[in-house]
Amino acid sequence: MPDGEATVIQTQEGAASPNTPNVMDMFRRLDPKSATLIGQDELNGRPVQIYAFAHALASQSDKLWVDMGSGLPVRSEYTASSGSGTVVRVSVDGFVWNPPLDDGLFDLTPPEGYRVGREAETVDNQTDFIALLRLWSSAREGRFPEVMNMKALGQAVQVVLGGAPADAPPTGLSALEALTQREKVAPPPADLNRIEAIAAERLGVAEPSLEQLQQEITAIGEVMGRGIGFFGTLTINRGFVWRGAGVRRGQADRVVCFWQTEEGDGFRVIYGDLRVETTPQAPSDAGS
Amino acid sequence: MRLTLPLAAAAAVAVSVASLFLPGGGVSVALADVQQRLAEIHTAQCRITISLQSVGLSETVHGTLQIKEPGRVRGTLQSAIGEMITITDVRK
Repeated sequence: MPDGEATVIQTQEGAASPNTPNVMDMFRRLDPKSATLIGQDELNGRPVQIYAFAHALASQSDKLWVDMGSGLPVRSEYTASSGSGTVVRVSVDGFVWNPPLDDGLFDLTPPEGYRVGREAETVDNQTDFIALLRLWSSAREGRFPEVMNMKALGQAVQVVLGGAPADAPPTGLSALEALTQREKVAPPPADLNRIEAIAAERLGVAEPSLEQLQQEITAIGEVMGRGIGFFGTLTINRGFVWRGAGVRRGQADRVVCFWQTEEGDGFRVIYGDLRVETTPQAPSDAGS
Repeated sequence: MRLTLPLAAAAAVAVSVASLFLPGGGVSVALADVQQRLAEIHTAQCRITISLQSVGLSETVHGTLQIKEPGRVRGTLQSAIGEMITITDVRK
């Protein structure tokens, strides 16, 4: 138990989500046709094969090390880099397979001394993506952005949480960079004014207390992080289409965006009033 | 202290994106055998390391994952500034 406060994020029982990280599931879903054997090596004194996986973006790479004796993974590594120099690397190793694990390890009751950072995970993070659209349009006086991509979302983080003017030109920071750097810079007074207005709207109060404001800033950052992650999955394999240019929040007959359902049997459509409908066909180019 | 949000959020983004692999027409390899071996696995424990490097920023989070199928994952992440436990249960 560490000193002071720690956080438990717990997830209610429910349907598995593609956003729920489970290393074993990830390995099982690997498509052999996307893999290239790039070499052999030794890892911890044992011979391994190294595979590289084709990725949608050249700036991202995935590698897998497989023990040639056991035929099981011993290491995986995912790397993503941006043009402006940010590098994210996630590596998993030190596997122990089929160890006895007590059910108590997965008890959703927070351990003593930990506070709950989030009480419930949505089935997927669609809810957070919609919340992200609500936050961003609130910061832009009800207007949805002209484009939707990771750099535009970087601007959203800077506008909503970083105090940047709503119509300032994009700085080029990706969403990931904006999220990782926003607490490195002291927010200007304008930031507090905007975040206070957004917090007041979310809470339904005229003037949130300082404590409420602090909690809301944390919650808003978490929502944006999850919403951005969900958006990332939509752009890679769900055919995401943005139609929000020129749409104002509340325009129930205007399509803001849509994407294919996970099952591939229809389309999830978000309208200007931020309601979600599932349709068998993609919306027409004419709008709704 | 709690793990600061930006790193946790960024890690969530990274893990989310990392879980997607797309067909790329590469050489067919024996990964099917790996996956067949994994079918015999029902629990696992491993280390995870997430590092972020950017201009003026370098942070690393170390942790462990414990997985018990179906659908349960416990992650314990530790950085220089704190600890976070994530417990996931997505059994239907």
